[in-house]
Amino acid sequence: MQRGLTLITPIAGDWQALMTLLRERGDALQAGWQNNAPYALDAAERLHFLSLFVIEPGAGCPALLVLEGSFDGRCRNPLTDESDRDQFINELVIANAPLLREVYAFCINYPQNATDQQVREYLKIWKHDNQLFYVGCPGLTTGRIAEDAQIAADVEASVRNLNRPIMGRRAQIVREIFQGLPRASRDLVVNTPDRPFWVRHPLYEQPLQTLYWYAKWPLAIVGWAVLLLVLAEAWSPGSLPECITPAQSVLAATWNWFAFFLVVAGVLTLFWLLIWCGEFPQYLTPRMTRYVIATKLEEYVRTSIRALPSFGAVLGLLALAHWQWMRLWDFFFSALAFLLLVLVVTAIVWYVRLLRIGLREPADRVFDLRWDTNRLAAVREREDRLAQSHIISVTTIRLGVLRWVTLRCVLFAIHWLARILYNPLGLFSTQSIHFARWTIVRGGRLLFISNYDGGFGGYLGVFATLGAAGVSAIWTNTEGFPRGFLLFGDGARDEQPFKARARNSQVESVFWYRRYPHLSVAAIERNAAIRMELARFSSKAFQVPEADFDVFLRRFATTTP
Amino acid sequence: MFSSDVLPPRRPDTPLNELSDVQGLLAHGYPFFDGAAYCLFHIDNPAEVRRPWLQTLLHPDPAERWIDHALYPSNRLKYEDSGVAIAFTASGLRKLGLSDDALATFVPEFREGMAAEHRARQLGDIEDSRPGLWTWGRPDSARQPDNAGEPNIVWQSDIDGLLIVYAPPDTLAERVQTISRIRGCPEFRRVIRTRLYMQQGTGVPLEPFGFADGISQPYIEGVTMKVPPEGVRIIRTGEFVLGYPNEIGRLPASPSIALAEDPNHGLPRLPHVPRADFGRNGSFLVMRQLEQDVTAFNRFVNGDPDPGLRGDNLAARMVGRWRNGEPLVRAQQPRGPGEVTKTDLEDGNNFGYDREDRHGFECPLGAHVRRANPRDALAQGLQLSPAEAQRLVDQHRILRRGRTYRDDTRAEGLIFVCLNANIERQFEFVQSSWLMSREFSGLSGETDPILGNAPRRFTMQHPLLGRCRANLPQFVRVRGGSYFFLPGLRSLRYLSQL
Repeated sequence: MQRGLTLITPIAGDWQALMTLLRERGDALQAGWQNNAPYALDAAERLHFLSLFVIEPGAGCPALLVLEGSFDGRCRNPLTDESDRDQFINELVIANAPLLREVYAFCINYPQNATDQQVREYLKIWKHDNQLFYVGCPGLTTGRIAEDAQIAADVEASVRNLNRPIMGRRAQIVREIFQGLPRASRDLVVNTPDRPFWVRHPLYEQPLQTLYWYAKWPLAIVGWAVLLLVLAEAWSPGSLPECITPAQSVLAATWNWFAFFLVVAGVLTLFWLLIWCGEFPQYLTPRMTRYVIATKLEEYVRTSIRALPSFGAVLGLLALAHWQWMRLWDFFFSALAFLLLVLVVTAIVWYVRLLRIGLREPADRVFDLRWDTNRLAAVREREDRLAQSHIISVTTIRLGVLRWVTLRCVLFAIHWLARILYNPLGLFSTQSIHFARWTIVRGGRLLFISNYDGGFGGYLGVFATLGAAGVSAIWTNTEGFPRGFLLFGDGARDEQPFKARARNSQVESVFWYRRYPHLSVAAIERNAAIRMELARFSSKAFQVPEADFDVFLRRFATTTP
Repeated sequence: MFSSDVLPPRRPDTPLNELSDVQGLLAHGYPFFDGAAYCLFHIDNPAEVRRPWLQTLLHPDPAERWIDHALYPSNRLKYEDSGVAIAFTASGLRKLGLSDDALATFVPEFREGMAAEHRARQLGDIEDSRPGLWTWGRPDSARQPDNAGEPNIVWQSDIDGLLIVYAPPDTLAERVQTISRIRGCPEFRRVIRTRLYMQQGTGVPLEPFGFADGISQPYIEGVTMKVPPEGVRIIRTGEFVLGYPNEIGRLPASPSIALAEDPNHGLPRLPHVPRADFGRNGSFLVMRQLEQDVTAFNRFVNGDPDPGLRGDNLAARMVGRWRNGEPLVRAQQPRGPGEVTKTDLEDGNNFGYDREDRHGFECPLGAHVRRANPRDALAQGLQLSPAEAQRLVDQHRILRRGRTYRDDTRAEGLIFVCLNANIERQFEFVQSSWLMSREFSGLSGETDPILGNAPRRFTMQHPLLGRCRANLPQFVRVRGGSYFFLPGLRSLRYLSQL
């Protein structure tokens, strides 16, 4: 459900003036948070985080304005992702058109005095794909996060109001806590929906339906092609070339299947008629009776006609199976063997080219640490405020096909591994990421943006220890990364140069919006768990094993006045 | 400049080959001298400081030398009359003649200083503890016209170095004076006198809240010549001494100078780059003055409404140890006075939270010592084995060398001093990611019960429902702080000859 929107737009005007403008707007936003002041972007209800920043000109490319947003998607099907991002752009414009107009006025081909509609259309041009997009709290929308936080706060208040001394069975205590909640929170708990596990691709969650969705048209084409051959042979025997002439046994089998389906359809129709007649409304006028019958017949015919293509395709596939069963298996295994051969050859070629680079990449120079303390101070000015932090890193991808292909493959693999195999430890074992993305940008650059909790040192420290392999696999393909080993080893494990390099590649986070600046990933997950557990307990009337309450109760404490 | 080459490991019972180049403070905290003076000095005349003063402190004759090194066996030092350690700030090194090129190789946290605004946020030095209120190390950006009413402020720009003098309390003042009379001695802008207050019977130093302190010190490979108790790891040298592999198997970033600036080969050469290793055998020293409000602390713990918790029980749960030093995970009740020795505490220091008290029912999850050194407690959250979790935590250890002070205004507290090779991954990480973290170990919205900023709360876990104490007052305020570099002796000689 959560998705990433990235807009990358070349800047035509004075990019430094744009930086100043963004800095002013960002500072005003930060100052407002100190006073819990609302902000225009709050109106974009699906928005979690949004940032605007500038990538300085270089590598033959102009300065770029980047808008990065993380929002709740509406559609589960990735093929409709496009419309979802466009819808979200519309909502952004509605929420804060003045800011967007002000900022995008610096960009190329921006229409003067643009209307809201023109702004929307302009922004949609600059959508950019993310090669890797990670969500730390999958399935939790902005609304759900807010509800969970409110419920958790109410539960804590209810715990504080418990009668003392605390005695009795755990079930009794939890029931008392639940009954101490305000009515609105109790209702929310009772009506807790399942937490959608968005990160799983539909292929994983509904494999058969998803496979069918992707395969139905190719299968339909093949099925109908075979059925047409069968019909052609039945209509005019011997008219087809021998190599594509179905055997008589195939014709007979197809006719048998057709008859079988007709019988089944007839039986189903009979049942349908019986049920319909049983439910037929009484006391109708003849005219109304004719109308009802006509409508129902029309619906029946329409449904039958809609089913005809599928029916024909299935019939054709059954004919094909009967006709070329062994050949189908041969074809399948041949295709599989060919694919494996291609993979093996590719892997060998990749490995040989890798060895040519060298195991330890001796051409890599030792990273020369010279910090630009002024730039570092500007970057750190906005860090360690409230619970969350933001990092933007721009690095240059190393030249060469090997690097390019490896980077793409690594990003693809990690993107899907994180989605399909939900990792409770979080991306690269970091449990503090709200949203993170890697995007390949024009000019051969790799853009990394992360909204995370805590400080820079702790965040990258985990990357350097527990998540070093994955991090190295990505960034070892960029310039200046600490010396790697076979592209995946070392690298980030050399913690100080890794952090120093990250600092030197950092871009100032001038404008950064957060919907819930005081909530960390741990707090969000904790609140979600509290609600889910309480919902489970209440749905079972608190008749669960006593030990189940332990984890729930351990989160809370009574407070003396 | 540094490389990422990995050097072969050393045997744990073998001292470093160059231990004589390491200042003695890294090997021991001079426990045989009860007194110590922390002298923050300002360099007005660098030439005088270098040649007469530094060279006198580093006299080639051991009988005349003041600065001792880590190879001196401890019992020999007992017969000396004092011990001295010296460290410098970035401004001090610049004044002594290090070039901008050399200074650029120091890590940014050292060059920026502890009082930088973003760092203060990161370390939790806010409100009453903010650098703008410090009595020493206050950033120059905080200068105000009305500072004239605070003549005793020592500004950050005034601090070029730190001289620590250890001696018996009755001779300490005289030792400091003797050093100050050496020709070329820089001006001591602030001298903070401290004393070791020992717990009766155990020989363990006490801090002002009455707790035994300095128990969990790391065993450093090649430096600490004591055998640790079973289950306690020896930490790699490079976590505390530059120039040696650290727990990650890499060399920590070490400041260096161009070869042209060391024509006499006074400094060792870096292995793969054409530069001289200025930082070898040195370390980074963190110093903070932590003023402790003992009255507020005692009032809080003794005024608890729960009679079963009031007093020592609550205090112990906030700290994580009983006042005599026994850990809560091993001792549900403390032993009597005199029954616990320092050896007992060291031998019993091999406990693990994950294997002995995972849920915090004995030692609360947010207790001070549990935050400062989680041991294997991160195992469950990170899905590691206890041993792996311990190794991870060992990348964030610090070597403490602090002492208690009581000044003329009856203010008391701790001069916190720690040594580490990587300020950011060690001291700053412990301070910001563990002590001041509001999400530590699954807790929500609470920081360290001793060091945290008011208002805050403290939760004591219980199998049924925990107990929470809210609105904890401020017990500790930071009154000063700075980062220093503690050079090796060769580097000191190099500085003295610039």
